[in-house]
Amino acid sequence: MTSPAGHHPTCSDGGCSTVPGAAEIDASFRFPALLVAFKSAAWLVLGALLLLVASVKLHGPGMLSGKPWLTYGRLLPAGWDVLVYGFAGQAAAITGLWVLARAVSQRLQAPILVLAGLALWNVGVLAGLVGILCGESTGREWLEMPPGAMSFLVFGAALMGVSGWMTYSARTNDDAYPSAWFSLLALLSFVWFGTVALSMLGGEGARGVVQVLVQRWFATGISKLWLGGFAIAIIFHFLPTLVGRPLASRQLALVAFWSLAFFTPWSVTHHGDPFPRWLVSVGLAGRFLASIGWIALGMNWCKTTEKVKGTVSSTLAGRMIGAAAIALLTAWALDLLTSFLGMASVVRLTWTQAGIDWLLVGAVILAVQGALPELLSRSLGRPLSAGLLNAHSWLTLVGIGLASLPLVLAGLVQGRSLSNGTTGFVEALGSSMHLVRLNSLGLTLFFIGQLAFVGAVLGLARHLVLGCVTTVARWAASVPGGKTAGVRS
Amino acid sequence: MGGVGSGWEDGGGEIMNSGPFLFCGILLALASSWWGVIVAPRLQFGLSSTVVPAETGQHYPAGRPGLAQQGAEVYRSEGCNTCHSQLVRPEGFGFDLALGWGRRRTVAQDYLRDNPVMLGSVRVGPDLANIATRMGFGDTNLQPVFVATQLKHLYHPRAVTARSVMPAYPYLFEKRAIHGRPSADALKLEGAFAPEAGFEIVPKPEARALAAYLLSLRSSVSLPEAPVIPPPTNQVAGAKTNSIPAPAAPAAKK
Amino acid sequence: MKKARKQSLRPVSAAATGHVAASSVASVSCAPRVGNYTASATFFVLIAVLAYLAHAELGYNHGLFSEGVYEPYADFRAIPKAGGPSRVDSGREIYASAGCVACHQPGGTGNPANNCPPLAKSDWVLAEGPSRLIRLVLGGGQGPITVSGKLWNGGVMTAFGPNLTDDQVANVVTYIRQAPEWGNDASEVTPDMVKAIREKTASRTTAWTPDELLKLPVTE
Repeated sequence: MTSPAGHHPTCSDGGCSTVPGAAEIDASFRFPALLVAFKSAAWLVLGALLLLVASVKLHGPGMLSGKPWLTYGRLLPAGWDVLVYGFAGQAAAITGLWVLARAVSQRLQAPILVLAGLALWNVGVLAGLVGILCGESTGREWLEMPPGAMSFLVFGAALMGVSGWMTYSARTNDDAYPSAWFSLLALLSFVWFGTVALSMLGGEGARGVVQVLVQRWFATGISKLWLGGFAIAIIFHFLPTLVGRPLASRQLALVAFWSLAFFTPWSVTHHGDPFPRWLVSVGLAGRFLASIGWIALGMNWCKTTEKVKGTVSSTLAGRMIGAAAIALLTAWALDLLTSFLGMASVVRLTWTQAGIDWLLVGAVILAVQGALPELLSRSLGRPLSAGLLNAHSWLTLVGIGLASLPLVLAGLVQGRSLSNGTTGFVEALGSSMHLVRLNSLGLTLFFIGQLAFVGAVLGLARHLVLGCVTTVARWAASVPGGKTAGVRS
Repeated sequence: MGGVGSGWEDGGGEIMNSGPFLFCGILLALASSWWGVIVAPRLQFGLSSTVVPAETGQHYPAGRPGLAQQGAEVYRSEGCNTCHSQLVRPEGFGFDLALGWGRRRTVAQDYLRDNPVMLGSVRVGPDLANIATRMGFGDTNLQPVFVATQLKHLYHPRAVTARSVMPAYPYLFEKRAIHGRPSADALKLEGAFAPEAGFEIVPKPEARALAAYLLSLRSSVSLPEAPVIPPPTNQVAGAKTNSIPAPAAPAAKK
Repeated sequence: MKKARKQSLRPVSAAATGHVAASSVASVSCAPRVGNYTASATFFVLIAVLAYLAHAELGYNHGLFSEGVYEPYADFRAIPKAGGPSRVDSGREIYASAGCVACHQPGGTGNPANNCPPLAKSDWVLAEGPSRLIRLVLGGGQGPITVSGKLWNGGVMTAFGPNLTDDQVANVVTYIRQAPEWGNDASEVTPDMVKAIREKTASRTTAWTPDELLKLPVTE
């Protein structure tokens, strides 16, 4: 239908098709994937550790109180940002780019941009972490990193985005597969939300509660369109692959794409927030309309895996990806449910909010950690330890489940005991703490699971030196022509 | 079903393959929400200025004194907003008023001078939007008491509230040996929380600033959009039970 | 509704088998295929319902799209005017300035010296309705009156109708019925009630007698 754009310049001899094969595409991710694997693994362990310590401090508030950088109010945002931006963000970006490349049957274009973007990204996360721990947090949730650090992230994302768009423009197949749309949406989202938030919050652009609107709009866009967009792209790629079936419907994917892109960032307000009534109403209407997208996703995925859901859960990647899909949709359902007045007045501003955030980010982590080992093993031609990954998948699943759902319930318990009008705040909080303890248990399991994941990634390091030499040699050999390196047969 | 045009029938085959279309479409989508929930509110009330409520006759919100402004920086830096919200929801929209966290809901006007505005999203600790008025320390005479209580609480929360889960902030205080008479501003600590003999705990400037900031947190002046409703003691509902029978019915007089 | 294509043309990739070993699949297509399942009618009904919900939400709760309307008020008229002094507070001022206080005393105790009956805890004041009380204030009163079982004789009450507006009468009558400092706690009086009675009794020029008033209902 459409002629393949972007003929690969190195494919000059007769034996080479202008349409790259899957293995060739995977191989083009070798260096970025390797970089992300090691960088993100380090952030992963660090972030999980910081969150674990913060969580334990809730039960022993006197613990580790001597040092400013160890106080709960700094540890929690630091850990959260390291996990979200350091790990989930960059791992999602690289796996998102990968499914994008697969969706348009093209090698990653201009990988040097991705490498440069990742370098900026990691510098930004490091600066942000140091900034928060030193007390330079901005005091805005999801945007705690100092603006200087955040701008590194935005530039980094922009470079990766350029590479993504180039890859998309060089499409070689008839129709881009839907995961490409969602990856592109995610790539563009970070640049857009980040640029606007930084510029509006930097000067006098936003006064008073408009700052809160900017911050919430950023947080919504970043969590649901950037992280969520990559996760959706990954799920779109893997679910049909895992069951060996086509994706049920392109139309449903289309509806989901546009309704999410248009309406999700409108839903920034809740009942009782200090905004005029119309803004609260607009926030709710936005949630209703964005729900069309989530329902379309759910129907599409259900139909694709109809009667073969067992096939999905029987594999390692499938277990993670399937759980990610369920967690993503559950996070949406909980967000919608808790926005109605009856629920909102009970659970808003309680643990529930934190629980839903955890579920959403947990879904992204599951999707990314399901896809990353696939990407690594394919692009590097090295298997990761299946045993470690198996242990990791169960620990992560249970860990994220325990880290999020008990918090949702804890908020309900806390809100209900406050609503009866006779319980004091401290007592109401106390009545929910046993559920918060489950969150700490979940974080412990999650942390151990991540050690296993990092162990699997580090397993690659043993072969790294030899692998690198071989890889560079093969890559160099491939430049004048002939088969591109990485096609393992 | 379906068939709303060629783009729909083939699942957006042609049009979704066009890079420029996709780029502009995404940008339009993201810009629409920016316009709707940021630009429009900013134009509508983001540029408003202080008001002068009849109740006080003074500009509201008033600017913070220098020390309180420094305290806001400490509040931000220590991440107090991780656990403390600063918003009061209206009657029927939660339990905030029932808990006495405010005399009325908070509205945009209350946050006009805050930068950053730290609403918070999870209440691990109580709301602080009205911490000063709520504890009855709007009264100037009681302000030293309020500051002393807050400082003690910051130094060791469990010295004030036994079951508090708030972290202690010993690094905002200085422990020093007493030379001669104890300092006037040394914390009055008892039992296990007191330092060993010959030493005293004195707040550092950061702690003083934070207490001054807490003292400045009060959003309870009546505003047109959020009037302070007096407690409903004299309402019609009360009258039914509290009225007494009318005097001597006409029948008795006849 | 067409069924989803059941058979995939594509072999299950390495990912599907759960082996994370390097892929040896040299598949021609790099992305999953797409079937031709068409969304069911249920989906379109759901879209319609959600769109309607969004529309209804904005329709009922738009708050005039004004920056001055906050939950829980629907529009400006619904916002109570609690910013100003309450009816009781205004009434207290009128009680002091219009002259009531001279006879009835600050504590509402009345004054036996000039045969002035009490207001605090008075059965006349705390009646279920304020109709008799409003007439007394508007038109004045004279003649023997039994208040809470005690007879007061020879007192005369001034007519305040000519000097006070409906609003002021409503405030002062509300004050004496609700004065918290006296322990009174009866229902509020609105300007509309005063207006109705003033119109009804416009032709009257003489003061009311208690006997006359007792024949009237307490509420109307």
